[in-house]
Amino acid sequence: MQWYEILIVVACVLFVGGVIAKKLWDKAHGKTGCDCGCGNGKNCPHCVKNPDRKTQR
Amino acid sequence: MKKFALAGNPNCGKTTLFNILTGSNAYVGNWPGVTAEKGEGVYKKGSEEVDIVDLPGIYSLSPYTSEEVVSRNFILDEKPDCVINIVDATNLERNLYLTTQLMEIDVPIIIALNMMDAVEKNGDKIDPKLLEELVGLPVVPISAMKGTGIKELMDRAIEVSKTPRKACTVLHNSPIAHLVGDVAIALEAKGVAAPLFHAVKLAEMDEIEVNMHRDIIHMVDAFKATFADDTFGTDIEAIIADARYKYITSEYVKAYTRNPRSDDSKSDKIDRVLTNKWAGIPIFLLILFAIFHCTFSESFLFSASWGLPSLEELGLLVDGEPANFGVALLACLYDGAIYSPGVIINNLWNDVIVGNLFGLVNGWVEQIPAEWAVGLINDGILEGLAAVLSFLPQILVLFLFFSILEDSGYMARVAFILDRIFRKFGLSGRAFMPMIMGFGCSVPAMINTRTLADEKEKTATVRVIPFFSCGAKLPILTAIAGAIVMRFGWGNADLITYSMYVLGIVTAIVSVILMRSTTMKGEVPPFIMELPAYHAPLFSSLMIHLWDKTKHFIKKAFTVILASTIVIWFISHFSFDWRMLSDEQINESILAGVGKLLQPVFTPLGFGAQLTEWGWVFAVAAITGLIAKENVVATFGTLAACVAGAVVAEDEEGISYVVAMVNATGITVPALLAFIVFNMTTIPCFAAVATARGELPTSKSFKWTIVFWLAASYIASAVVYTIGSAWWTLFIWLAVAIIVGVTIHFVNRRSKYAVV
Repeated sequence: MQWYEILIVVACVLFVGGVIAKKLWDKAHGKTGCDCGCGNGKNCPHCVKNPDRKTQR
Repeated sequence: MKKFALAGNPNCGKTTLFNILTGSNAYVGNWPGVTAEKGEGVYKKGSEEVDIVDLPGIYSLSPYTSEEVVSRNFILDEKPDCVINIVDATNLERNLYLTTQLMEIDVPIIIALNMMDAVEKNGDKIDPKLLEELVGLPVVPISAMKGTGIKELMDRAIEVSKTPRKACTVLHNSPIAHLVGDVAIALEAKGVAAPLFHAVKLAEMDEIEVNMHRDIIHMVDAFKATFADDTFGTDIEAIIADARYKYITSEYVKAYTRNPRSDDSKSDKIDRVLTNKWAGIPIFLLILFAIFHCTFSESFLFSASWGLPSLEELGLLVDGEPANFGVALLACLYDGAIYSPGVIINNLWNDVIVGNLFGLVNGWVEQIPAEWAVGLINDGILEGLAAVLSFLPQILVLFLFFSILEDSGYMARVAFILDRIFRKFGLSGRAFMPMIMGFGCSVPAMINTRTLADEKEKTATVRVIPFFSCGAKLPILTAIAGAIVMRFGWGNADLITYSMYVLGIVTAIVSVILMRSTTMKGEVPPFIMELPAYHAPLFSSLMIHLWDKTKHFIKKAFTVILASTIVIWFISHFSFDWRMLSDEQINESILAGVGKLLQPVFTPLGFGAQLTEWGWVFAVAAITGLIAKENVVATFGTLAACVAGAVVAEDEEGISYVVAMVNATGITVPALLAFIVFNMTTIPCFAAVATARGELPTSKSFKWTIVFWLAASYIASAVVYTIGSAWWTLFIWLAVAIIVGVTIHFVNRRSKYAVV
């Protein structure tokens, strides 16, 4: 394999790994990442789970 | 940092004000109940920062709904430095009812008199200074939509927050004034904060207060034993509500002068037509069709039947290609028929921007000496991305139309119109609001089901929300509908897309009927909703909606979709013994292996074992769609270059990939329609599944929901495929439906008699 082929493979692995890691990180922090038009802001009640939700229900 | 809370009735403009103050773009809709949970942002004035909390809309501080509990708990427990009470000036009396409750809490309050522009437009008058004197709270007239009066409001709110405020009540002349006074003194002696508020609520026998102050409840019981109102008897809650309204109408309304010549408002006149008992639903279906026609039709206003000449007949094509750039541009608008605005924008985007940009990158990539790398980047990544991005304009056009309907106030009317029908199926019109939000995205739609008080109605609604096709499913619909027209010359793309949307709604209705008559029986709660006034949507607000949608779509395309196309390319070019395969060998790949394993499952749906050796592509696309629905078309794009016999046309990017797959697999039109239905109604994307898990009451109901989605999608697609392939099977399905219906009816009747 040439150096640029290794580079492409490494870039692909890093990118896919990064996307999966980001999704897991968001999930761990309660962000569902919706299409509501909030831009996934930390202030969006749709994207960020409310820790009080169970008590509210 | 100071903390201000925005409180007010539903749909009075709290979130619009919140967005102006904080620079946020939280979801704003012209119907009551859009905000189900509190949102937070920061307002900056010079070096000073104020934390702004947008509370859900409420009519009272009694804990009847989850929104009321959220707002009440926040004001009482978090003790904001100031409550900005937004009052809809066009509904002054009803909005001030909440004000009379807020003023019973020891917290600084300022009234933002919103929609003053609408009051003036009606020819009515409100004197803010007089209102301020009468209510005893600062009043600032504003228009949150136009952004007027905001600076003055915040300046005065900051000023007001510096001085503590003593609670007061309008109940001092009511028959229960003594009771409230005595209970308040008792509570104050106990050291309870906001004693006046708690005293009034205790007198109302508010559930929360009764549990908190059991030692004082005897005072209320003793009072009730010796007291009876002529009208309300001992119903103290009704007496208090009546006293509040009487006070508002006798005192506060002095500041309001109604235009003597005003009769029915413009909204009332429009409603006479749009919410008409007979015409309401046909008008809604007609509007919906008009939207789809304007977005997807290649024969705008049915211009294909006008006998217009094609570009070839006009001699503007050379070897089938536009003679020059001008003709290329004209081809985006017209070719024997005028294209709809959605198609025109789509053509311009694909031909001028996506085509040229991707063509340029393709040229650079081809310089790389490694053939596999060129295949990965050009055929895998770029084709996959192009397939998804090519639908962006049409998604935005459709979303723009839905936003206009929402912002104008029409969607709230549709909920009202549909309540009558929904009620027959076991849901109230309120359930329609989250469903409509489902056309945008299932995630906020599922969260919005919190406005539904009945647990069973809520579960049923969460389950059917994915049937309302979201923006992410649109590329599947458009690509396949376009391919059916292009490859088979069958019907119109707009009509197919519209029919699929309507089919999604029908599947939702049938599912709800089945659920509410079997596992989720129960009374339908009454539906009471204030209809907002019609108003022209704000251009800036629409543009913010569209920009957010674009941003989110592109972000998703360059993260999740891009990562998926890379993974799909790799597993389609490696065999199970980790040998790299050429394009011609992908039938031996890991992806093909998995696809072939799953393929027989889809045979009854038309895209299984009956297809050629490449048929596994459809099974794989359906599975990758579980990550994000856009992946379905991206998968076609990634694999199109490798599938034998698949020839991808230069134009119509996304549609051509499906046409290529149709040619390679031999799939039929009914099977393609069944494929759309399956993807529309099956398990939604990961984000929606995670939200459903959070919103459904138990893990058992969540597991059943997954089973429900799988079963519903399988049955609905099987029905479409079999009827499409052999029309007489319609009678078999009808017979099955009748048997199921009759069985449910008799089982229900038997259990009813058994109970009696």
